[in-house]
Amino acid sequence: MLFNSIHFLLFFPIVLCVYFIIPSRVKYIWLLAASYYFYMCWNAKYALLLLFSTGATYLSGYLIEFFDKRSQEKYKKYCVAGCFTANLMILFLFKYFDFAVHNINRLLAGFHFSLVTPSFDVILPVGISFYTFQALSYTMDVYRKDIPAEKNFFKYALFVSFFPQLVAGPIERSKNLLSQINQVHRFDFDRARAGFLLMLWGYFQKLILADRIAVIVNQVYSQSFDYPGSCLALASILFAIQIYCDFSGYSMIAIGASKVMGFSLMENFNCPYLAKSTAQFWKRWHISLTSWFRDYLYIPLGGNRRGTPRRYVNIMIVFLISGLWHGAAWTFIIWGALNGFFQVIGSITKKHRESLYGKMGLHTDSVGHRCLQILTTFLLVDFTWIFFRAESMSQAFSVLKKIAFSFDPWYLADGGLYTLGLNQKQFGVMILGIIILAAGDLLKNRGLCVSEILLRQDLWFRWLLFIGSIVFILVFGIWGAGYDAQAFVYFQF
Amino acid sequence: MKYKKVKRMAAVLCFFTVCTLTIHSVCRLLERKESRVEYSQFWENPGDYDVWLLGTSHVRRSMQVMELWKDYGIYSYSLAAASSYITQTYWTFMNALDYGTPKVVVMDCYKTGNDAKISSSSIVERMHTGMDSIPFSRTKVQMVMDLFESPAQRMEFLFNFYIYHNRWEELGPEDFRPESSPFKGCRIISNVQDLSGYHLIDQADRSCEDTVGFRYLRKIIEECQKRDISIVLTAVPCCLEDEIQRSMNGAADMAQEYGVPFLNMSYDEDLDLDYQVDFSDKSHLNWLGAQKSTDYMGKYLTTHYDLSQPAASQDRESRWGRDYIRYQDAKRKLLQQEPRLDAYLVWLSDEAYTCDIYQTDSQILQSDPILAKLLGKVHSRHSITRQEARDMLGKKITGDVVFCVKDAQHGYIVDKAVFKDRRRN
Repeated sequence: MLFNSIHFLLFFPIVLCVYFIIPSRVKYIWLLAASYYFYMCWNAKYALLLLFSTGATYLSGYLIEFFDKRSQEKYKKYCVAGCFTANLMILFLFKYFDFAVHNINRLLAGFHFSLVTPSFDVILPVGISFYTFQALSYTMDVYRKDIPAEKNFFKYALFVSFFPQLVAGPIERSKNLLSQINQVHRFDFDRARAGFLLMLWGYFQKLILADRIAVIVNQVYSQSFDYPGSCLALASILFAIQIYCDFSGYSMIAIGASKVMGFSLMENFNCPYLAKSTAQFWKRWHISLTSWFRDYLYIPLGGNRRGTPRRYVNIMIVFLISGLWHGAAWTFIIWGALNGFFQVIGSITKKHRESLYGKMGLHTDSVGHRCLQILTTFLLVDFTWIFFRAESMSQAFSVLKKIAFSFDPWYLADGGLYTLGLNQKQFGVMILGIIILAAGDLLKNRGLCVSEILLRQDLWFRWLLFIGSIVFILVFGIWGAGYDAQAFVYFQF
Repeated sequence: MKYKKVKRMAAVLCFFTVCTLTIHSVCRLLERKESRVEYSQFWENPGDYDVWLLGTSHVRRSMQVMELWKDYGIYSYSLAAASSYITQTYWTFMNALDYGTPKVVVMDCYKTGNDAKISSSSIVERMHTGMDSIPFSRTKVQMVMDLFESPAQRMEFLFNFYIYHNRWEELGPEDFRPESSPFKGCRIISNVQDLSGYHLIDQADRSCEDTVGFRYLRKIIEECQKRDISIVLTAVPCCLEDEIQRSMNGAADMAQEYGVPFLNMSYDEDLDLDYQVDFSDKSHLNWLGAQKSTDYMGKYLTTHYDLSQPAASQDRESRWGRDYIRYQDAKRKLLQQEPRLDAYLVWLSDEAYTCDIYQTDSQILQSDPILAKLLGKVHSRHSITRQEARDMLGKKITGDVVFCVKDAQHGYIVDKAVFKDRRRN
């Protein structure tokens, strides 16, 4: 069930209405049932995997506390190890098995060997990477005594399967979400209104921008050999916007839907393309995943407490694994490695750059300098997105080669711009959408909350804007007959 | 506190109402207008029509509603839709019955041989023209649920915003000021296709298999009989495959079973069809053929049914009078825009026109047997000299034939046309 489907637009109001009508003590059961129904709309069988992950991590929490009371530290660690192994094995099996076998065979081919295994041709369970990480974070939090183990299995199951963020995040922490499940939630008009506004913004990002831009990106990348470098460069830039709007849009809808119900989820994106360095970018992009890796991988590896060289190694490990988390392909691993590399280089050269700016008399707090930093960061990040989007390493290199050596900007100027999948009017809507998006992010970056500003306006203006926005999304959005509802890009992870 | 809650609830309700009305208006603006142009007149005033014509484009092109009114005083409407399967016709009929009751239904039996509820996706697109203007109601929901299996298709017919929301790119003046068609569900075509070699099978050669088409035809007949509505089954002339002819002939058995009349027009010599010039294509009669079939149907209906009007129908009379003027204007436009010589001659068969004709030595109108025959059907014609033609045109003659068409009643010039090599100059 996609957020941008009629099914969800019927499902959510029903869930909401019943949620606020039924007694508080059974609200979580209703949400749990709704969450499993939501997940089973994708594939009913894979709900068993969700249940397994839930059961394994619930049990681990219980056992960790059990052994902790008996001061059996060793068995606590076995619990954590066992839980991690079980869950990551399932993730490996469904997501990485074929990739691993394929690469082992390639390696062994040099020695005229091959590993003959049955092909594991299964559809990747949607959201497995997300809910697995969310469930494992609970195990670690209990082990670290950040939270007590949850005794109520159904409440814990809701924490793992909470439908707004189940399939594509934000990857919530037990400290945040589990405690909210235990709270009483009553309908609050202002909170609901704020939640709906967030959802509206999410739908704008997804339907107006992400799915519209996807038309160009998909066309150009699917026929990358036929287009000059200028088109590939444009498609790559647009892909950066597409993936941001797609993912941020989903997160907004998830956060907004949760807010309507009284739950507060963590922010997942914070104007990432206004970052002035790649390090800052990763504090603003997919915040829930980045913080997960920081808390459960980077810090246990030593973080920055074991010297600078070890810090750089830890950064590279985290980004390599992050790349692998995104997909079982070398393009994702290279994408992750490049991001790690840029962070490391950025860190190494930071002092030298600051010294150089000083010697050149540059004002680092000037608008020009900040714009340059933002642009440079965007270009570096967008460079890595080429690997993320490409179907293969060879395509990624071919795209880069064409951008570098066969740019041909006149192709776009000679009317080629409107042959990439969008005609002039559609292109115009896309540009308008990008301008609105940029304006929203710029205001947010300056600490201004757009929704609060809007809610302070007079009633007629608010209604005009809200109704206008709804109509704008319905009319200009990419949905309906003739379009396959574009799955959110991050669902494949 | 309670007052604040009530005030808030009222504000929310108000907001949703305004939002819904706005979206509804936007839906209407973005909707494709073909269906409303063709059928909105019926849905706005369904009680205005004593005779309902049901079927496919065969009926739309062969039975001209405004001619039935002008010549026979019959108030009718054509609810026929292009490529409409009998399932769609049945449901259109059922929806219409929610709003009015006719005295007579004329039901064409083409498509009885089809054994499916609907066809391919291209037909589904055309179904929108027939169905979009049907008001949303329980019957419409039943219609959509019966005709379509896929949720997406059901969605597009129940809430057509689903497919029309992105029509903002195609909006034109006609979307902001849609005008209902003066033809009341009919269409007039002037193309000519020579089908004189067509083989009509024996009338007794028929099939009445238990197809979906026949089952729904049965439902239509039974519904009419239940509501005491007279029904006339017809098989409008067409030149299609033997199998289709058999299934159309097979309707005779069903008609006999229910004791209703069946007019198999292909075999009725009273129609005096000319297969050389009366058809626009294998499926449809052109304006020449339509005049004959309309006349035939008009005579039959007035002879067999009491379609006389109550005294107090002055209002309806004057409305239809105004509609007839619009209809005449529309036909005039078709004539004025006609680029082909053979089709132009078809328009001139209308008794509303007289025409003066000048031909060069090429005598193009006599050079071709079809053109010669069509010339013979021109309602009223006079030959004029070259000089008269030049004076009329106000310029040199650069074609093979010149027409000056005048209104038969008032004498004003309707059109001046010059044709060279069968195309308008």
